[in-house]
Amino acid sequence: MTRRVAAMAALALAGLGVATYLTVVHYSGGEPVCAVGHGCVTVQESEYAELAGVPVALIGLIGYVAILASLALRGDTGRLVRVAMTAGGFAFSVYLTYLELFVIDAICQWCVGSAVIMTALLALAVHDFLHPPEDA
Amino acid sequence: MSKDSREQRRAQARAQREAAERAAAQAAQRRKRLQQLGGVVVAAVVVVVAVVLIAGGGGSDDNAATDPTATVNATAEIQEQLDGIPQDGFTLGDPDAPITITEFGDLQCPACANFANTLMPRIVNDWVRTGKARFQYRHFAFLGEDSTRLAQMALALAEQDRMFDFIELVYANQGAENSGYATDDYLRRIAGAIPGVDVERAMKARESDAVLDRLGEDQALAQTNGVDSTPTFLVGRSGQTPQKVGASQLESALTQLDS
Repeated sequence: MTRRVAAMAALALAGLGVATYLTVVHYSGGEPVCAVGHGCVTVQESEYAELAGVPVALIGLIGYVAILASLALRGDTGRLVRVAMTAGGFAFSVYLTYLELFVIDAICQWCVGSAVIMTALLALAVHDFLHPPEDA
Repeated sequence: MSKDSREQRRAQARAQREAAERAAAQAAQRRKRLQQLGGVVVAAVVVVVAVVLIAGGGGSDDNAATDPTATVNATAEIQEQLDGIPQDGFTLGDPDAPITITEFGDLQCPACANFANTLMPRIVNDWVRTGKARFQYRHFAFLGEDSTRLAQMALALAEQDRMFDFIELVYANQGAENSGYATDDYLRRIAGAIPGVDVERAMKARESDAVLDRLGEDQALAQTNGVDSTPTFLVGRSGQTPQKVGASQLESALTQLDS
């Protein structure tokens, strides 16, 4: 495994952890642990916490699993697939962050964490595609 | 000698040509990659935007809160729930009860409504009605304009000792967050569903110094206690330092205090 693949795997695992936690909280009806501010419950219980009946946290969980799985793909196809998936994840994160800031008026650190992780994943995937390792 | 130098020149020219070709190929390759990258990124963004638009994040606020002709939900249940329990301002229950429960809530907060509609009836029946605890409600109105309007009306009704009826009715008839649903019509409709309330007196009292001071005190108390989400509860026996808990730990905390 190259260093860049290892870095992407670590990031995707971190994202998977966040999404799993939020999915569990969503289904158990509990309250997310919020370090600062008061947004987590607000965000989790807002009408935007689900998209067509599917919890946003679950969508994130599936996304991170798919990104992890795509790390097994070799060559340029794999690199392009990873760019596509992380770009999709990034666009979705932008939409969710917009909702938090301008519609729900509450910020959930867990969601911000996931958005940061997804941004880093996109940057790595783009770099990996534009500058593939020499041995590829 | 001259033959050697000719060959050298030829080799040099070949090397230059090859280098130029390599560079051109690399540039073409880079262009192709950038095009592919752009295409894939645009496609991914388009897919996400389409999904979000089709699935309709948010949806319409077609609930009773925004319909002025709608009936007020749960009036009978709430009357029954609070029937015969003394109310004094922001306190529900026996003022001398050994345990005090203080809720910090925002009337717009969905988690607070969830608490009010599920756990609160049990807390009232098992703890307040039995005289084991008194329940105080403090307004931590932080979500937006509607929160403040609702809190001011609630505090105006506290002057008529009917704040808890109003709070429970608001939670049972909550609108979409920050949709501007807490209009004067909405406030009149909810307050009008409480028996024996002078609605217009409360509407006038909303902007009074007494109500605004009270709201300021509540918010300050929330900050002093480090309340960072709603609903948050303080529970404790009189004279002891209260404990801060969330809705899910409230009952176990009460049981512990009672044992």
